Amino acid sequence: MSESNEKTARIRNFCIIAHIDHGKSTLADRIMEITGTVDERKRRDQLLDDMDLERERGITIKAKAVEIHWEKDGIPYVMHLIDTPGHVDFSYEVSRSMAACEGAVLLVDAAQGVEAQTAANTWLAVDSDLEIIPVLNKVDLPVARPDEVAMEIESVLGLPAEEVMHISAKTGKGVAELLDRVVERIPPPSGDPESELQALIFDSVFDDYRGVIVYVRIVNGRVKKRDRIRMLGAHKAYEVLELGKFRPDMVAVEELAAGEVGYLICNIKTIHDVKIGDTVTHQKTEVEALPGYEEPIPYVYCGLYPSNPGDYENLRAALDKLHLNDASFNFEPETSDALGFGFRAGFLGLLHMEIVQERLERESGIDLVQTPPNVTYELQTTDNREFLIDSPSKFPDDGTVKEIREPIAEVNMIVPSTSIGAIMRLCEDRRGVYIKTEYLGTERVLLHYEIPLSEIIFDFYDKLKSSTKGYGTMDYHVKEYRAANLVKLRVLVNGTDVDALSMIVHRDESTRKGRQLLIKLKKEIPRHLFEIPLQAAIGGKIIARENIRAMRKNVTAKCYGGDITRKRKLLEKQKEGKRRMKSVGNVEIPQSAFFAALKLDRDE
Amino acid sequence: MPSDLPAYALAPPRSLYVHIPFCESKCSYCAFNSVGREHTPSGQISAYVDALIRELTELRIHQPLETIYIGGGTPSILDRSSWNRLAEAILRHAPLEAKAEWTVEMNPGTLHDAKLRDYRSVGVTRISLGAQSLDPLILRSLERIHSPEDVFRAVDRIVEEGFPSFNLDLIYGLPGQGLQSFESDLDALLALDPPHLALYNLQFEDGTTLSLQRLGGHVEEEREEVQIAMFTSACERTAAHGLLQYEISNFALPGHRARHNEVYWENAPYFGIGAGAWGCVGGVRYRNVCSADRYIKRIEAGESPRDENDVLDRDALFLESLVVMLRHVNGIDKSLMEERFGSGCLDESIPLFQRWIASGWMHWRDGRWALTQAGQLVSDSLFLELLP
Ligand SMILES: Nc1nc2c(ncn2[C@@H]2O[C@H](COP(=O)(O)OP(=O)(O)OP(=O)(O)O)[C@@H](O)[C@H]2O)c(=O)[nH]1
Ligand code: SF4
Ligand SMILES: [Mg+2]
Repeated sequence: MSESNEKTARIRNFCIIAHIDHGKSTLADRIMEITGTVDERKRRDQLLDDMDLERERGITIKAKAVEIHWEKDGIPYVMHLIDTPGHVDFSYEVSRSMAACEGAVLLVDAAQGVEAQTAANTWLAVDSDLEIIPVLNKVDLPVARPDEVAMEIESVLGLPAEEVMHISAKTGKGVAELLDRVVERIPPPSGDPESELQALIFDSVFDDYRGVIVYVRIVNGRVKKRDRIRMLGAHKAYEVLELGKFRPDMVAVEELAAGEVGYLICNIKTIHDVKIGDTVTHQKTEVEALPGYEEPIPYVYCGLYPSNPGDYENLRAALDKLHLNDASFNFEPETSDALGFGFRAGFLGLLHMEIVQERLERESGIDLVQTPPNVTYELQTTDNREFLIDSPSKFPDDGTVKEIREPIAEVNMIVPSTSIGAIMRLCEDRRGVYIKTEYLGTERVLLHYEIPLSEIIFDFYDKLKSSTKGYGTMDYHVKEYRAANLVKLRVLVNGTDVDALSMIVHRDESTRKGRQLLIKLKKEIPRHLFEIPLQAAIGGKIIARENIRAMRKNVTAKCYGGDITRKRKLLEKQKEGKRRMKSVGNVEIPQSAFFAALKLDRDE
Repeated sequence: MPSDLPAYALAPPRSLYVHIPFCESKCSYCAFNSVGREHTPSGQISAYVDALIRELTELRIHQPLETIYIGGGTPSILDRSSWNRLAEAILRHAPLEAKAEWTVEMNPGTLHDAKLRDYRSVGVTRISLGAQSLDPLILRSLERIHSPEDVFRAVDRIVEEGFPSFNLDLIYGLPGQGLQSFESDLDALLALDPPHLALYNLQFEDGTTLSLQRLGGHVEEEREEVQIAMFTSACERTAAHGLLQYEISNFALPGHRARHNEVYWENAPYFGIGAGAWGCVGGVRYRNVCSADRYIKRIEAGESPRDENDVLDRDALFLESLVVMLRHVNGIDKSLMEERFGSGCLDESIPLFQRWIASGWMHWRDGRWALTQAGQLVSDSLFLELLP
């Protein structure tokens, strides 16, 4: 074995996967601690969750790589660990991380047991041919039930119970042993540092000063400073100005070789040159493209409009930039009669949508108006043309629709046996079709259902949680499109059709939903100096109406001395609030009104 | 850097506001800067008056003042010796014009013949009396310290003492008040022939007992239609007594407008002294520290009592001027505004004004734009449209 191949043999790449909150980021903290990766004074809990949003919400949103050093039996190893998010909306981050690893540490909370996302991530790891190390975490908890949970791991995931390690990411117990196990069990990368360069782009981020920073896993060959490289998908060459590793901050090095994970800075200013999943090689070299990633398919769409129409171009730039760091959402320009110029964007789920919208607002400072989300639909017209629509406003009103099909999700729920009845009722309410039940021991069951996606993305998870005292978990993926009796519900505000408020609903529920929607809108739209009629319509038929009464009194009693300053500041604040509203016709509609549709509760 | 302001805003003030932040007890709707006796340590009021005198002295007022307003709180809470010290200091350090207006606010529950005589003897020209309501139940629910009879007695005494003018405060839109009872209260007050009436729409101010009661569902805001009816009825009844509305909440016989308050409505400069007092001098609207204790300490330590400075720029002053002027029947005087802010300063507002005129909220008369009664009622919504 050559010296460089020997070096590759001492590399281990693994990701940490688990259900949400089972302690992945905390384990990453302990690992960085005992390997001396981070200075003591820089330590803090969930150190790798460095985005403000991640810290505020206490969840991991982006996968993060870090290089660590570990010695076993006197031999030094270099490892790259990737901390992944646990929420189902971010599973694209997980599958991408897996493509840069040979193994996975599968964490299971010793008190909670196997959850829906534990299973889903395990199947992903199996599909990616990863060596899986099952680990029980939080064994320090008095309520931990390690033996039972180990049995669950065996029966549900098919991983032998006796191999399950016991650790506490909080106290550090068992973490050193886990690293030893990683060295033993996870194979070194198979790449050859002496062959031509092939590096997989697994992530990227835009830096205002240094351009696009590309995160790569070197699969074969090596790359050095000042090398001229190209992306196979872009046909453009760049010079490597800096390259380095994540420790976990970016630290420059001279070279990255097969098996290693790091970053490249090449002064790339054209965002579109970089594509996640693309292969990097040297300028003059011909290599085959690496398999890359399967593009995730967004099923949840919403409109994103700048509150201030003048921000349209800024919004486009902000979307481009963010897309570089999150390839799992997509967007294209769209025009709304009500809202003007904006974008239609697709997401992997509602949390994903919320995070993207917040990141956009924070990272670009643009105020957004977001329309209510909807799923995609397949249409067949009377002349037998087929197409996919991502917005209710694209639904033809002219009666040419022959069939409309909606996405159906396969849903797996792990719930306490005592709440089976409640959950089955919930699924039936949501037009679900029962598939089967599997028993996980005596206390918990795994329920399989097929439910229209539109029925689960909004409040289904909350309902599942409340019907199971918080113990239920779920995972879903879209299986197929199926025909259903759906219609488009339109909303007219002051006589103007507000396309951004229209929604696609099941015919049986259309009248109730129309009525409820208007009642919500009535609460959300502030009174104006004139009366505002609200109407809900299907086709040409009005199915519900409400009126927002005109404001006839709005007057301050006293305006003396300091009241004048107070009044001016209040007016300025109110004006700011008004700027965040969208004016449709001459009615100011606040963002919250566009979300009223989301909160239509069937119990009301 | 208020140097781009029109000259009038930078001129030396001709008015003085003095704040007395003490009351016998706190009324349930009140958000003024005042505390009840139970929270006022003994000796504090006297120390406060000393501090006031010191702040006044340091203003070094040279130009004679046209108006003085002693408000609160309850200025009539000052005992005679404190009052006399304050009045003496005012006369010494704040030269008054011959026809100056000098107002003191008074709570009917603190009526004291000798004090009234003291006021008159130093030259107070006007008493502003907080009647608020003549319904004993409502007065009690508002935690006012006086009865309806106290109001009548106070008015008798004010008239007997020969004050050239006086004002009565009345609130409409109180929970449980009702249109009829409001109208009969108003008639009873008008029968006292007040030269001036301030008619305030009840506001639920944050942090007041009344607001908490509303949040708790114990009181309800009066219906909008009823409040509108109260306002329109009040405008008719006052007019029948010769009291003309000259500001959204103010009515006066000819020659009896509150000149001090009109300074605010012209957005002109004035001095303000005392805890929580606002003033506006040299293009800066400032506020002193609100707590009487901290105010006294700062003054005693020779420090400035100012706690907040709103440095006005031209745009702010312009916007404020439009707002306060539109609250006044005089409205926006086109030539006066152009003189102050340059010709064409209203160009951008005129299309808006034309829309308001078409909607019946405004009229244009004698070179002025003023709000109609309907416009006054929705004035806060209209003002929002003045912002660019
Ligand atoms: N008692 C105990 N608590 C732990 C342990 N490991 C993690 N926790 C706690 O569990 C919670 C979730 O930990 P995280 O590390 O953020 O979990 P995660 O898996 O990274 O969560 P996501 O990234 O959102 O999927 C935190 O409050 C941790 O302090 C452990 O070993 N013992
Ligand atoms: S008397 Fe006047 S200042 Fe004092 S609490 Fe009552 S309303 Fe407020
Ligand atoms: Mg995490």
